[in-house]
Amino acid sequence: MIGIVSYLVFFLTMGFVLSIAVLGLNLQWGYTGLFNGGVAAFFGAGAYGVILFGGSNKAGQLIGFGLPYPFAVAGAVLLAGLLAWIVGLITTHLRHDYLAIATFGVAIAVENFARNAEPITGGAKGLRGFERPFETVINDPFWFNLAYLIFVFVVLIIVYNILENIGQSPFGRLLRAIREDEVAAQSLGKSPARVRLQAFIFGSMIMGLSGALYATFYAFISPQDIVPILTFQIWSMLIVGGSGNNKGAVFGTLIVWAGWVGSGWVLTQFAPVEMQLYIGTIQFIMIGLIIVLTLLIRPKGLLPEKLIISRSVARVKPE
Amino acid sequence: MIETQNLITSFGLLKAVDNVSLSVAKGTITGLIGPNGAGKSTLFNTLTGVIRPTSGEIHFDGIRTTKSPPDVLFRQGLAHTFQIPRPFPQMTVLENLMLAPTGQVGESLFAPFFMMKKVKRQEREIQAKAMDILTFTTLDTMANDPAGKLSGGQMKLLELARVLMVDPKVILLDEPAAGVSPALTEILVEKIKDLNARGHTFFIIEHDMDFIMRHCEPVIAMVSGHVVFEGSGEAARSDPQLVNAYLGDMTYE
Repeated sequence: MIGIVSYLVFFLTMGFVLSIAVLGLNLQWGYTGLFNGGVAAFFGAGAYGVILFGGSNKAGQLIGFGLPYPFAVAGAVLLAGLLAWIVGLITTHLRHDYLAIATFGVAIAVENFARNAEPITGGAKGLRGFERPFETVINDPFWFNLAYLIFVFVVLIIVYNILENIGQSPFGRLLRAIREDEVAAQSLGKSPARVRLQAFIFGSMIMGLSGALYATFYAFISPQDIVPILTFQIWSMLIVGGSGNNKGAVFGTLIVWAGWVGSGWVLTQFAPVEMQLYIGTIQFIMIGLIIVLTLLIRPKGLLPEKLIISRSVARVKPE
Repeated sequence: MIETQNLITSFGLLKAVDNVSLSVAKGTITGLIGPNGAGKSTLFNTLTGVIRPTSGEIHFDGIRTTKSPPDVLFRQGLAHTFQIPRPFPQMTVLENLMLAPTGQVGESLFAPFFMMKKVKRQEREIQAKAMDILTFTTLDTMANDPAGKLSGGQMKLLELARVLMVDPKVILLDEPAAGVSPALTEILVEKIKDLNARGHTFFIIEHDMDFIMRHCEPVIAMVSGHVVFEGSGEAARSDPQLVNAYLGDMTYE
């Protein structure tokens, strides 16, 4: 029984952590129409960032500031934002698929940096030995994980509310206008380049936050955690849930994550021995299949975007 | 309001706008005519900053705007609509209008959290104005519909309504009557005249000679990138050379 509960705790914790990254992508793609093909890079910046800033300094490593946890998380988020700012400035003239290709390249570069910059990132072995906050106080893995689940859930609620607020504000209206027709928005006095950059940076910072929570949970991060498939997993969650809809983003995350975990379990239990080696590959194929099938059968996702009317405004009744 | 000197806009070897010097006077409804490919839309795109001119000068309202982008020009009071309407299709008609006002405090990432009161007050004002303009342009019953569901003619009205949110000094309309039902055209003309009487200057591209002759004064004609006629509609009509030589395909009926 305790085994099932603790597995459920793990499942929900990861589900909520991933939901935060998907919400960040929803700000970029769902609201603003920015095709970020390098989610893993910003997630990774946050994940490495939290351990680099919060971890203790070890022999043979350049960084490890041992900052208190809140500062480590803030540093991780800012690191993701800094990366997004640089990438955003370079790609400011890129649209759609070109932006996707460029950001995908950035993610590959970040992964390779993590794999090779051993003095900073620990190389292929990754960074381990991160002391999680309150771990010594609670001193029981089960209760610690439960407390961490609650913490992650609270962060998710906060991020969700911030994004809902943005979505219903005049700024959200501006983002959607740029998504719908950048030329028309510019003809109405808006500066799309500036607004796109803001959305790109803020969305990437949310992905960085998600990465920081991920690395905190495992107290470990390695290049294996930020491989390109992560980007596509997060995309499939948003597409299944319904881009442009924050509820859909969270809903889609939990469904795809359940499918991922469930399929892994089913395959390890029932797949023939000679297939066992390929379970990961089969799961990758499933992610691709989910994206294609959703786009074919229900292109707007399970919870499609709703027409939003600025919250501060009374809904107009047609006569 | 708008003056150009020796304006040239070229695409490779083609000079789509070739040495154009013209002026649009304040308070007029100036018409721009010319056969297909004469460079009318390119001229409009150059004036509104969508395309950078190759050489020459543009002044708007006494300020040199040769290199200004569209968003800067719009904030200075030069608005334009598109030949093929560009609504924000997945936003409501009301939201399409509410987007337009410049200087909205709520249009920043942090405003929803730190300036909620101010944002709300401004939103109420903007909404009230948007509803007035929707009523004025007869689109009020569609306020909550997605803009993508409007007819082509209604989309042209929507584009006009959108720019009216800011009281622009000059409004450039690219073929406002093309593909619009006669009934909607009547409404559109009525609104243009109404706005003109309130001090808005209009500069209109139109293929429909009847429309130009009845509603525009003065008239400018372009052929192959050049301005070939500038004067009253009356003079344009009685200029047989102009009508026969250049505008044979759209003779005034």
